[in-house]
Amino acid sequence: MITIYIDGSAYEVNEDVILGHVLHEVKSAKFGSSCRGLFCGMGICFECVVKIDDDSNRRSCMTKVYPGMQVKTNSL
Amino acid sequence: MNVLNVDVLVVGSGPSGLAAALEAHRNGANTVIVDSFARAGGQYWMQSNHGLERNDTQMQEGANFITNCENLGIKTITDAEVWGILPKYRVFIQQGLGDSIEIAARALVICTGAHDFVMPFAGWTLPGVMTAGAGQRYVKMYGKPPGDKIVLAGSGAFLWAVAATIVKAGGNLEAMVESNTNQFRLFGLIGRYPSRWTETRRLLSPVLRSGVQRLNGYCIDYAQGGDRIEAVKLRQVSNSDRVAGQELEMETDCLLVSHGFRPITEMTALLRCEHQFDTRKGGWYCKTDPETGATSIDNVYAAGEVTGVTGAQSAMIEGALAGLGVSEKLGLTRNGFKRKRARLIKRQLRTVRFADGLAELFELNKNAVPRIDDNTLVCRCEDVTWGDVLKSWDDGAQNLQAVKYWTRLGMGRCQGRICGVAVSRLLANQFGLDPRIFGFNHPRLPLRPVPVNVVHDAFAQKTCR
Ligand code: FES
Repeated sequence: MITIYIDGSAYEVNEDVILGHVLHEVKSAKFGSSCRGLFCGMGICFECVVKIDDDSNRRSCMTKVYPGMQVKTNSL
Repeated sequence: MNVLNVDVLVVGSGPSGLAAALEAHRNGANTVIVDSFARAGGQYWMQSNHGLERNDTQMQEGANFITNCENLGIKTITDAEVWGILPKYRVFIQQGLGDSIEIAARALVICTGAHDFVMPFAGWTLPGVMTAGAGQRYVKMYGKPPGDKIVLAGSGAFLWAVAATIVKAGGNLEAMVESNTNQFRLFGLIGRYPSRWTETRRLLSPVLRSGVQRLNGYCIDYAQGGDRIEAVKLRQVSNSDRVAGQELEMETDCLLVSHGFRPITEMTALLRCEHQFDTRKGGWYCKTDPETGATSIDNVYAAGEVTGVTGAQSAMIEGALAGLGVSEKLGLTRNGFKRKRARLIKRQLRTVRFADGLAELFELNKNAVPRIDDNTLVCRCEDVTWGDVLKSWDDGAQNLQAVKYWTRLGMGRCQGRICGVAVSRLLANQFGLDPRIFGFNHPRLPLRPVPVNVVHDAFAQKTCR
């Protein structure tokens, strides 16, 4: 297990999982400017974008988690 | 920037891409594959990290193919998004957040596949509503189901595959809702193709054994919820415009939808390959020579779903044919390649006949699409409603490109990949027209959002050389 931070709260997750899947399970997380979720889950629709560390507009469905990752939803 | 020189660059590492690369490599072409995912396999041969492949024949089959390619020394560059292609052929990829890499290839084989498309409905933007493919990937990659009360709806044989994945992972699938009522004809079709029996049993038996509620002849009406989806309203498909079908409400926290597949044509369209239209093949697809995989553009080959959706079995054969075709074009063939090609072509005929039969059975009936009204969002990125589209139509915008200029539909981050197919079908239904007349959104560079300095650096090199 590793620790990642979503909107400031710590979460223990399995290593090697995809961030978008974690966000879908953590029901409070929202993507983008309006309330949206994971949609295509494979990098096509860009609905799942979040800010990861200092980079905005990262597709969470295409990104693996790593220890200490800081995720900000509603980053637009 | 580093430039990697290869004979053949294959884009996409699903069944068609891997088969193409394998064949090209066997004939002596220096071949490299790029893929946007973290591991090779595409959607069909998706490789999870949970050791799931031990009880998943399909994943295992993929793992074997991938290992075979690796052992032969075929390199796959993963996590790599193609964002630009310049003539003859300079392909720019970005790996993760890294700098661009340029690959100079004598020939390309485009095997970008397809993704599921969804016809819009009220509430389709609620979190918890996703494509069936997203749901399947969730289970395979995350090891658990995407909801506690899943409803799977739409149309197509793919629903069976997704249902099987969910129930095998112990998920609670509330209902599988298929808008067609073709069960008997479906079993009749499969009965005529013994080569498909094992595969069919693999998909059907877990679903049938689980006792999941199956509703045939129902389609989605709309989804409801606050922060997330809470319920879906279904209605019986009525074949008359006047008689309303029965309605049904179901509680759900996850609605998985697929109305079919759309070939991912951005690269072939950017290269100006000729495209054709057939709703049964997913709408617009790249035209190829069925014997060699050659597109209308010199040294550009394509295979798999991007050349028309016909399923993974046929994609694999198309890939092998394109691998042979491209090798022949580069003057790199081994003895016996003609015999091999003839064998593949023969197998392909039968495979495609089966796929055509399936496509006919699951053709999306215009009465089976979700109900929409003027307030329904059709473009998710730019918040364009169906009312906006109809108004632009009245103003004279009568193809997708014009609708885009008028309303911004298709101008957002998805670049029309999600809304394009749906809106041409909706307009076609509304006005009784052929969906092909609306055309498709032309892709522009960069194909994926990349930081502007990455684009600049890539093109700055061009002037220096
Ligand atoms: S969910 Fe569509 S790009 Fe991530």
